[in-house]
Amino acid sequence: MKFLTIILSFFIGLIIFMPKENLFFTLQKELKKENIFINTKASSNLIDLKLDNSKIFVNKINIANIESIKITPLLFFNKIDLKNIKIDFNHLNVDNLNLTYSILTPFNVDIKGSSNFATIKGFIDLKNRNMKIYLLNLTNKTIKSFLKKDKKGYFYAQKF
Amino acid sequence: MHKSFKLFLISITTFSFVIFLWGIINFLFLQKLPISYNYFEKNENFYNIRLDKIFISHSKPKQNKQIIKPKIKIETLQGVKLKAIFENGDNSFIIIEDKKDIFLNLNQKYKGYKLIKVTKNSAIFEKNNKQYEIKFSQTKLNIPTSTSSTKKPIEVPTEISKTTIKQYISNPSKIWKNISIIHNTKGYKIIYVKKGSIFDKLGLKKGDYIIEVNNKKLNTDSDAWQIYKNINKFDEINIKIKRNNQIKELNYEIY
Repeated sequence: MKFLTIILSFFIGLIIFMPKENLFFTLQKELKKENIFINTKASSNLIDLKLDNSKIFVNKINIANIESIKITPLLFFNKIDLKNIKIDFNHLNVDNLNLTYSILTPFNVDIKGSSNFATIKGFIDLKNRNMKIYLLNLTNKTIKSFLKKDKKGYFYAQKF
Repeated sequence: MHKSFKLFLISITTFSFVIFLWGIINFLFLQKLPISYNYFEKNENFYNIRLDKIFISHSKPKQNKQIIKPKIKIETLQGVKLKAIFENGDNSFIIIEDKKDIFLNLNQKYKGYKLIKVTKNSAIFEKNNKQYEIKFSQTKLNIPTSTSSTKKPIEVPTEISKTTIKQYISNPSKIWKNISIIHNTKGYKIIYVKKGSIFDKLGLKKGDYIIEVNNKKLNTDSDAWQIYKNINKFDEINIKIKRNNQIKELNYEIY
């Protein structure tokens, strides 16, 4: 019982007392090295980190504006919810995008979302360092020229 | 001691340990302040001043209140390039280049030279009761000979409507149906231009390299994207291209 209390208290304490904002600022510092900037207003509560009105800059270009980002770091199950992403190209708008990471699939991050141009489904393979995002029911012809296609449909693949 | 109180004490101790642990990590490794990118909208208006539009819009051109003494000899001011003129009575201003671009309002001083008059083609300064003039033509003389030797004369401006530009911006697929551009080691190369398309009419040809747009060099995708984003703000577009190893300039006015 004693041991269980220690483990449980330790786990809850790690989540509650996590310096979420400072961890995000550290992420900003790392992204800066890649010339990626996130201009945003960060705030946190006991469980979540919230980023409001985020502007994403890549190589000094404002590529996207995100109304709200909610990061829930529960250590064994982590989730990032992005809402209302406006991409500065051809009026592309992603209504919501969810990234989930579970300890049950330690090398996989699931991606799900919906937009005004397609239904988004994909994954990030952390072991092989690649990602594949399917844009199902794709309506926007412009994007098609930037994508590859297989049996499932159009997809975007990237190694990192 | 009661068992549950014991467990409570254990929890508190564990929490304290976690707080201490996070505190150490925070103190040693984490960034304390946010990092953001200080961006600003580039104001490239000085490329876009159309003098004819400005003059036409003023039904009654104001007379310049500055009185120039008739017998004063006007000398040429050396070492300064005149880049643009905005003639609007007392609100006139000019843009000169002296290592960097400098805005000067009427009656403002620069290195002791007071801007006293702005005309259609020149600006007149005064210093120690002497008058000095800079003209647009001086700018052309100052162009380095290395590039001017390869340059062909600037072509007669072609006009593009703002509506056409808006149509292409709102529907980028329309652009890529009519023109294909690749980025290779030499720069941005046009590899396809659809016959009869707007790009064909504007004089762009397969094999051309786009070097500059409105005096902004195209080196990275970032440069190209910034031009694409700002293109509807321009009143004039100047494209410098390299064709058959010769530099050529294409000028378009947007109406």
